[in-house]
Amino acid sequence: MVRQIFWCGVAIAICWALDRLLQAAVYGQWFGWLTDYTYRAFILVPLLFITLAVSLNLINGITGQFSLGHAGFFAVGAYLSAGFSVYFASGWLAQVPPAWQGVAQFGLLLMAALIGAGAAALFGLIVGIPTLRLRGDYLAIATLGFGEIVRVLFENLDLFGAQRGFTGIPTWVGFGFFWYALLAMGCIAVSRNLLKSTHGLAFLSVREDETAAEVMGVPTTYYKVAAFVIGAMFAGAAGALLAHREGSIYPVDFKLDISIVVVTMVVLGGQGSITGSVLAGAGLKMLEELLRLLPVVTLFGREFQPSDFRMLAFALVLILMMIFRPQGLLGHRELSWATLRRWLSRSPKRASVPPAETPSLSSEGEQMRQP
Amino acid sequence: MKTPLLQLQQVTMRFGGLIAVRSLSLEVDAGELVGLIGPNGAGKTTVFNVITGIYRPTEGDIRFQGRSLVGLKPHQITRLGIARTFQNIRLFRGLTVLENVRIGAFVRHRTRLWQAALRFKAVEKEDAELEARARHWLEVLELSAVADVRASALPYGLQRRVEIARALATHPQLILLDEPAAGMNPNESEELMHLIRRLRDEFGVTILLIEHDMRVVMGVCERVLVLDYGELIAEGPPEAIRNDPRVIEAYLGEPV
Ligand SMILES: Nc1ncnc2c1ncn2[C@@H]1O[C@H](COP(=O)(O)OP(=O)(O)OP(=O)(O)O)[C@@H](O)[C@H]1O
Ligand SMILES: [Mg+2]
Repeated sequence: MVRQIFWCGVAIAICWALDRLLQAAVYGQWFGWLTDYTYRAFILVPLLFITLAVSLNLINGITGQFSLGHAGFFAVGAYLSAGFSVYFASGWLAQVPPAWQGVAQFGLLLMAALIGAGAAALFGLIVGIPTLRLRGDYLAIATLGFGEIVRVLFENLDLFGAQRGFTGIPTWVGFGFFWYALLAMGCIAVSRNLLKSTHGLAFLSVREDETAAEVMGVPTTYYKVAAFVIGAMFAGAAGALLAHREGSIYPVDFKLDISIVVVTMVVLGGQGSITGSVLAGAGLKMLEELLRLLPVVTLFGREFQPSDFRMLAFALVLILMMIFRPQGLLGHRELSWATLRRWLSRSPKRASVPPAETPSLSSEGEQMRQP
Repeated sequence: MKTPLLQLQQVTMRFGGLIAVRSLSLEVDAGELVGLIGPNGAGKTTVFNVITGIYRPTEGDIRFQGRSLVGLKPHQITRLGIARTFQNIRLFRGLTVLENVRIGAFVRHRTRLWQAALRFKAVEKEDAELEARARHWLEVLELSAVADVRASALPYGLQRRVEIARALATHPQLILLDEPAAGMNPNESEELMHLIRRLRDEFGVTILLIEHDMRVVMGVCERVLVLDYGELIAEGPPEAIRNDPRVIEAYLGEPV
């Protein structure tokens, strides 16, 4: 317990210090390029998508349950936490004496985020259970349907602003770096802890061969549902932060595109690789932002905004990857200091020396693979 | 009266119109080394599948240590002490040999998932224990040298051994081996026979094995069950089975 609290403290301290530093840099205009806009586009949004990609990686990459419903969990977290703040928490805050406003805001935001995460987790459970019987394409379609149903639901609920969007959400997240970074770190830490333990192998065994996993004593149902619940929880928390940073959310923020983009990130990073999801999550969002710098072009008598090319660029990235690196950027591996060192020390001379482990075996293996 | 370790009572398994196993009754006592043979499509693998809960028998009851297994999920049955290998090897191909065997050992875990998410001390301790157990079985099966090799990169014979190690890591009382010698050369199957005897004698595991290689069956089994069209047609010690006219007609052909 002591260790967990210690690391929580360290994470909070780091995020807080960086938050302060960034605020000073952005508002003090330390660098010409670091404006409110570039801060949001190149730091905040990538952080949010790191959380989304790493949490989806738990479902898609590690457990092998192809889900296209991540935007749905994201939406549930955003809308329900915002509903809590708008309809309840704001009223409570008004009764708090001015001296305690800061503390109360902090506490209420934490509560809202937990509500968002909890509600999304509940939806994860609801989606997880009926989809247990579905695999592959069928699961993808069912989860896609779920995501769309959630969005259409909020689009039609007047309580949540319907098509006009849900506005007037208290912006308790403020500058945002602190909360966004803390959530991303939490999500990465939980994923890493799971993957490091033997429980992590249980998730992986479901991806590798569900029947064999079950026969080896892994309660596959439990692990599949758990992957959905944990993944959804972090996506929901991310939604809550988005709502309380932007102050307004719209159904279009949670369109199928978001699910597809996040799946792209997981696939690009390498199914199951946490560091891969982090790199691809941040990288694709930054790429998207850079595309906006392109000029407006006129093709076939129609004007194309640079952002119109977003999906085209993603598709291109995916196709290139399928050709040159089908296992994703990092494959099943993780990026760590050890792997970095190995890459750096891989001089051409040493590369010709075969690896230490029984070379005769592996060469035999190559022949045996296609008997 | 002593209850047998495993008991099948009038078990029938029907796939639509096809009856794969027909009113089969058999018993295996603790410490026995039993062979299950029969022609292709006789229903041998199906027997394993109903015992391990992959299929629910259409009729009949299956008891393990007197407890009915019908309706239990495969992972619950494994927990009770039955492990198996697969005829068409089903390793976790993308994982290493050690990871495969660690998943087998995982059946004895006690920590909760949320504790693992927060990396509690208990989880670290348990991970070390489970890994030690997995390494123990790698040692026994002489697989330590390939512990960190991806399962899919191993030659066939070694893959079969990894499957046995993975099954043993679940700490079974009864292990079901589905054609463990398939695809092995004479040397390898000789080693396998040693191993099978050792598992029973040294580790006290009861063994039920399906095998087409008669040298292996006759060499290690103390009792042989013969299945044909889902029915038990003969049962007895290897010498008797070898000379049983019904078995010769249905399966063996010429006396071996
Ligand atoms: N899931 C299934 N659905 C339909 N038929 C099945 C199924 N599983 C097995 N069968 C049929 O049941 C019969 C027995 O199959 P089984 O695999 O048990 O034979 P076997 O004795 O193991 O044969 P082999 O020696 O070839 O492995 C076969 O006719 C097979 O086609
Ligand atoms: Mg078979």
